[in-house]
Amino acid sequence: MTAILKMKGLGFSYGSRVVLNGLSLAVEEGEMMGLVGANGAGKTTLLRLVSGVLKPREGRVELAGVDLPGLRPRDRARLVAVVPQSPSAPQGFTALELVLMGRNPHLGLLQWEGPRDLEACRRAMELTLTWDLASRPLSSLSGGERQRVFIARALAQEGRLLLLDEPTAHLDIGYQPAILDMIEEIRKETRITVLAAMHDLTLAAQYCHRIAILHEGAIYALGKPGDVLTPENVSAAFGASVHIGEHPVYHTPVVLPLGRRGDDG
Amino acid sequence: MGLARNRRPPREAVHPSPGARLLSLPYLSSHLAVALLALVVIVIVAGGIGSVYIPPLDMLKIVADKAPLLSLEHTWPESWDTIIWQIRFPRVILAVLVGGALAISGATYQGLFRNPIADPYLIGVASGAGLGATLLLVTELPIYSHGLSLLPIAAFAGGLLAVSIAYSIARQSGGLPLTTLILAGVAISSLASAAISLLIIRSDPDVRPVLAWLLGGFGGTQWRDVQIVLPYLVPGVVIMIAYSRILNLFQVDEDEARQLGVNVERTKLILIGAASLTTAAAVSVSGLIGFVGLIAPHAVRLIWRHDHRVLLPLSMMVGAGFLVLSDLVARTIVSPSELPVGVVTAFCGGPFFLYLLRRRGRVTL
Repeated sequence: MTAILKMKGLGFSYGSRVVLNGLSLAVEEGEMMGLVGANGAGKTTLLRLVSGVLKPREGRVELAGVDLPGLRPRDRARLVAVVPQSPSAPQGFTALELVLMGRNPHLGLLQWEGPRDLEACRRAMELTLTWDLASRPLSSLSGGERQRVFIARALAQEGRLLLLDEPTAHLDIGYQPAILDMIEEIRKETRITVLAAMHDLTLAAQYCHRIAILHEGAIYALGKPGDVLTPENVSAAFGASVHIGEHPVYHTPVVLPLGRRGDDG
Repeated sequence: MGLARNRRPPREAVHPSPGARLLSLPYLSSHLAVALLALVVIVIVAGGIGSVYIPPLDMLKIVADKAPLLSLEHTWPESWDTIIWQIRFPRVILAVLVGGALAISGATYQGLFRNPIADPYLIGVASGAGLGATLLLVTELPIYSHGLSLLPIAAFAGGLLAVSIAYSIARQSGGLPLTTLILAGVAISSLASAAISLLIIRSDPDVRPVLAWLLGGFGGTQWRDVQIVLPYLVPGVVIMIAYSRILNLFQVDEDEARQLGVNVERTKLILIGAASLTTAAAVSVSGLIGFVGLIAPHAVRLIWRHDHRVLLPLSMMVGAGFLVLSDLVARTIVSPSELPVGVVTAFCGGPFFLYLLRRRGRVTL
């Protein structure tokens, strides 16, 4: 395994508020890495730096040896695709029309989508089980269906790195593992590298090869879920006391929050 | 939600789902051809109506007579030639150009700002142009120079200056927040309108030329007016059409558009420039004609598609036809006098807009 995404000494601040400070992280080709951290720890900022929405104040971001911030937006979008946390729902567009937007980085200014682009969209929509929804207006889709359509749009970009910003944030308990199972299958089939900001530590442990804990603008801990998700690490990064158990089926760490009630027995 | 059950859909379920088609050039051209034909019919009919009525068939002959290698027997009075080519057609063609320009600029602004009630005057072009024209009309400055009216030039300069001010106020280091641009445009517009009122009140009592210009109209149009605007309209329209596919990507939020490979800031600058240039040119020869830039794109969205590659060119045709018909009403309804065409478009546009509100239930901002 070789590192495909490398961040070195990454720094970023919104005005005077420093969000990232000397962050270094390497993501290996084909792996699924979970990015966890407290609210405001900078998970989304990190993803926005990698996807080129923000420019780093200092440090480097490289994908397969190419300096990402230095690329034109179009070239960057051919390498990196993003599934946003709360996708916008433009009015009057069908699911297919939205997925076709993912072909933009492969098209010139005056070029229209051709059969090759339709084929890429069909593949992406079949992987996310949304091809049957292709001609439905976006506004008629449920939250989970829409989420899958946005994943299809990212896949239609045919990039090498997929960034997910809390992919299960607005989904119910049945849909959460379903989406992550789907990502897992897509990763196996397309060998795309996945970096996902995750809110739910237990789900992250269940689905990610490695987990990076973001704290105070840098990576606080990095490694296999079982090694990283310890009560000490979680307490330091989240300021929360937790009990770490073991998943009865998958034998991955299960993170259970402890409140003050626990003392009463 | 049954997703896990559907994990492996039966192979035969994976077929091109109905309607999953790409936008094709034949689709667009066939619709454009129909719209263009309708526009030509409107132009011919409208050109024939006036104090002297010329039947459509004779109109066709008069137009065909101009074609090279074609000589028709002159079965119509000589004066009709003059009426058509010197009086009616300059006016009708200018209405086509101005209507098309306002409609395509309106559609572009609505797409760019993701705001269905954005119109071409939103960010200050109109009031700026109004102020430029008013300044010229109420002061001692000469209105004609070398036989050329300075009014369009003053209006054009005023309009572009107002947009530039709004743009430079809204511009920040990170880019151009469009909400700030709209607010800056509104503020600049209010300032310019206040200045216009002040100038009118303080000036010579006869303010009718200013008011007539502000309300918009095509009275006394000559071919020269068409020649003045054409060089500005053509590049503006070409740029907007060229960026129509990219405009679709502006319908998701700006960060997403960036992640999909759009150079968002450059595109905004180019499109605001093109739409403002086009609008300012249109306003400079016709005054402030409201509602065309709102009605035409909405009508196209109701009937055809939201894809900007369809929306922009078709809006242009609809806007052109609408303005020709409005001008026809304006110059015939109180004949021999004339109404400002802006009054007619407002009378059509107000109710149409209310209908839209009722139909959609709400306007998303």
